[in-house]
Amino acid sequence: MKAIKTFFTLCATIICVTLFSQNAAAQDNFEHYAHVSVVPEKQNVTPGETIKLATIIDLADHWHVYWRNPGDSGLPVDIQWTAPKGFEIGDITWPVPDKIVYDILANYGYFKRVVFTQDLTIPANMPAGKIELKEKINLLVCNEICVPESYTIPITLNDPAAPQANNDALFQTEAKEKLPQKLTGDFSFSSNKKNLIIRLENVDTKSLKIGKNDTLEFFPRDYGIIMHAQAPTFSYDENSISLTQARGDQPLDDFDVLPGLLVIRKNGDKSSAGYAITLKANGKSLKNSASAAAPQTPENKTPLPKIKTANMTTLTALLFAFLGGLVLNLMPCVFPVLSMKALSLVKMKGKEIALARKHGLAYTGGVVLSFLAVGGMLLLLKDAGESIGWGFQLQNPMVIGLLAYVLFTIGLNLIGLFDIGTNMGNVGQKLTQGQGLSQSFFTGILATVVATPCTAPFMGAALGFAIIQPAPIALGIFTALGLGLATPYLVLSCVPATQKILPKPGAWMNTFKQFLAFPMFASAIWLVWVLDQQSGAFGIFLVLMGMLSIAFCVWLTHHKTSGILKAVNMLVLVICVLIPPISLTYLKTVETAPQIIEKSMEHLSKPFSYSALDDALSSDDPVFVEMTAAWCITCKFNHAVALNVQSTKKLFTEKNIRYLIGDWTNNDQEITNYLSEFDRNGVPLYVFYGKRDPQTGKRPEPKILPQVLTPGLVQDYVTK
Amino acid sequence: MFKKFCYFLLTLAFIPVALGWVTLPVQADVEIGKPAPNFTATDIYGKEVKLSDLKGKRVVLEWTNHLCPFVRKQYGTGNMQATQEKATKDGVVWLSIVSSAPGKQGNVTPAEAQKIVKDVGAKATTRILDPSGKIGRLYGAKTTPHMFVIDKNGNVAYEGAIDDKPSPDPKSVEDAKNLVLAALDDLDAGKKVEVPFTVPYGCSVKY
Repeated sequence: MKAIKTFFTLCATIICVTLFSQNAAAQDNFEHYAHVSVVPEKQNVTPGETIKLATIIDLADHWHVYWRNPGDSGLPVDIQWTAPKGFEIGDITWPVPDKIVYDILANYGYFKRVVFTQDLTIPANMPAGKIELKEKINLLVCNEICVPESYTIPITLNDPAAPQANNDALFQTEAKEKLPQKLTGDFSFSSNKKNLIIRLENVDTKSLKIGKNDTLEFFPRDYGIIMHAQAPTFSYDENSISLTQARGDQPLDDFDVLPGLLVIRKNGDKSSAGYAITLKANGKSLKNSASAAAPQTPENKTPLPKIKTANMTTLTALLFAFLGGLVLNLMPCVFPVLSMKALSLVKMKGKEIALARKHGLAYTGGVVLSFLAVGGMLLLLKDAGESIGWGFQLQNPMVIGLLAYVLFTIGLNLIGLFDIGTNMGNVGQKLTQGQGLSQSFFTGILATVVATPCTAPFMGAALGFAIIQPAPIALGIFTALGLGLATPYLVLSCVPATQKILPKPGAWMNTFKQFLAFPMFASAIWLVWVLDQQSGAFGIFLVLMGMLSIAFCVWLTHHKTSGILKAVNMLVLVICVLIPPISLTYLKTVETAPQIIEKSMEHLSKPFSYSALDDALSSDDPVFVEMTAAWCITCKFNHAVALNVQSTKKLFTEKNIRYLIGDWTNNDQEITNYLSEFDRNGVPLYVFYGKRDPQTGKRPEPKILPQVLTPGLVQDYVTK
Repeated sequence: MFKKFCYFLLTLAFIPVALGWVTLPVQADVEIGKPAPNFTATDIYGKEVKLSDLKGKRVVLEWTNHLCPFVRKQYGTGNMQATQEKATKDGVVWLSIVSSAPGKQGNVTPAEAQKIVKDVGAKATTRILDPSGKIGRLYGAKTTPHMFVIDKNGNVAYEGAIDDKPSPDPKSVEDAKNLVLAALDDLDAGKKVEVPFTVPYGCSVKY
């Protein structure tokens, strides 16, 4: 066998070489990328028994044949038998295929060697003598290009002349080892307009031996259920698995069950194990609840009935965005930046004041341009089908780490550890030279960068609105947001009268400047805490080492050295400068259970998932949904003052309110989808579903709570 | 020094986000009953083709690759040419699109494409080369052939296979039901397309 295989591979290679050197148009003269053999489990059969037939396909290197769902192109392996009357041939057993991704397309198929088995049942009235059967196999063999091959292979049973072969290794081991395994549990699916959401409950996930870099995927038996090439998002704990995959072209309404495989892909590549699972539709009840999105079907093309979004018009959205931008100025990380900027005005005298206006404009330009940059990126990503929302930058631990560095460095500067060249306090001196203008511009960028974590009140609704508008309107809203953020400084610099409200310059300014370092450090500490939830303890270590390097760099540059020491100094400096960015690249998102739910709330709340929501909504109790993220200050604030307080907890317990918390610290498809159902694309979001009316059996429309909560407000919404 | 370092860090801040955007595959946005995404292209004879200019006419988009066995089944048996002829006589604009990337199977120069069209006697309105795969990705074209029918209002009326016999075997053409002609007939009769979506079959588009 081995010799045949080697010979065959050699032939195939020669054919390949010849093929590519010749006119490719002649390709279908070569039908030899696959070699097919058929082996019965035993030679001599008796009436009434059932034996197995194996079809073995050996393939040239890199060529593949297809699974029953071939994916975006290709054809499944097709086997037809011709057998004497009374002989019955069973279905093909399909081994677990590999996923083959090719640009925007993906296929499911087999490389190298694959063994299919089928049952052959011998009739009770088996004819005497030799039994002849014939297999016709049609293959599409592909390696970028495709070649159809078909073979007709006869086999003979009960042939006294045939040698007796021992096929145990083939049938007992090889044919079985790649077959899908059994998995017990409760498997269900639901869907919204973008995703198929799979939930596997009561599964012993330990037994699956999922490796650290492995990915979990659902290979549907049918075409068009998912976008095959799109990577799934998944998470699992001890006894459940959640999987979200982008939906395919088929409307899922007609499917009560979805059969397929749960596949573990080693390091996201070759399939290491597959489990046969059948998902039951639980989207049906979800569909009836007010929150669910009706899957799109060719017949049902009307846009989803949107849950009322406060009838936002473009004008009010612009206004809200502007107000939201204004409020951003008061956020703890933005405030010091703005204060220093404002204080630089205090020092201005005479003709410098005339230049102040230019600074105001440069700063505004910096703010607005960076808002447009982030907004534009958001729109592009959204356009590309990515499910993200405002604050998406912060779902990347690298960005969080970088922000922590920036805040820490500014803190060091403010406290006076270093004072090289210009800094925010003494722009005045540089004003006449006009050099400060670019700095004002970059301060604007900096203000935007540090402001992003704080989705201030008003902003959520405006951004949610922005994202569903055509690009010009959406970008207009982002501009309004930027203008809001820039306005206080712009007004101070352009209207000299307003500068009178600023205190007189003096020694206190230095003290104040140093004081402002502390909110900066506090913000940096908070970001490190966020990082813990994204990248774990190792992430914290990396980022703290980066900060140490920054501090060391600063200290080094303060030391005047000469001669060889200077060279050493420079070398060390270069290394130190490199450490922070390099350490960032090692930051990875780790899968962690939502930690955001404090211990004190644990017994009251459950982590959000569509199946949990569905479960809650199928009961008669009221349901409260909170969407939050570690990097969202507004969310944390609301949670601390209005939700995680004795009165609210008591209220929730008394009213039997089912409380679901979604943690969006890392990107979570289900939460993004849920937010989009309410036309939002950022946190916080609070939704209350009133209890089911016993007479009508219906729930009232879900209510969206404001983005700033008080215990009284929560009580109003819950009891009304 | 510090200032520059600070700017360097700020510039870095946007790199991960920017990279995330660049590496994302562009996703198709074609839905039955929704407007067909517009595109402008130059055909193999150097003429500009703009989909939005074709409003008021029924349009067929056919993804093709002359070396793919499934395409050869269609053209070898004359089935595709006959379908094109029937449709174009009826006033349909038929665009054959080649999205094979340079160096990949089916990638041809305009001159080569003109020769192919002549040799097989293709009856499509014209042929478009899309080596960047821009149009292919815009439509999420998966296979050759992969067919799209666009109605007079510019909405996608049919997407899927050319016929109901997913096989490279030329004999399968004989008793196959032509799904594109069926969709065009439905549109002609002012009806809703009975089968608006089928699973496309064939070789993968060589992006």
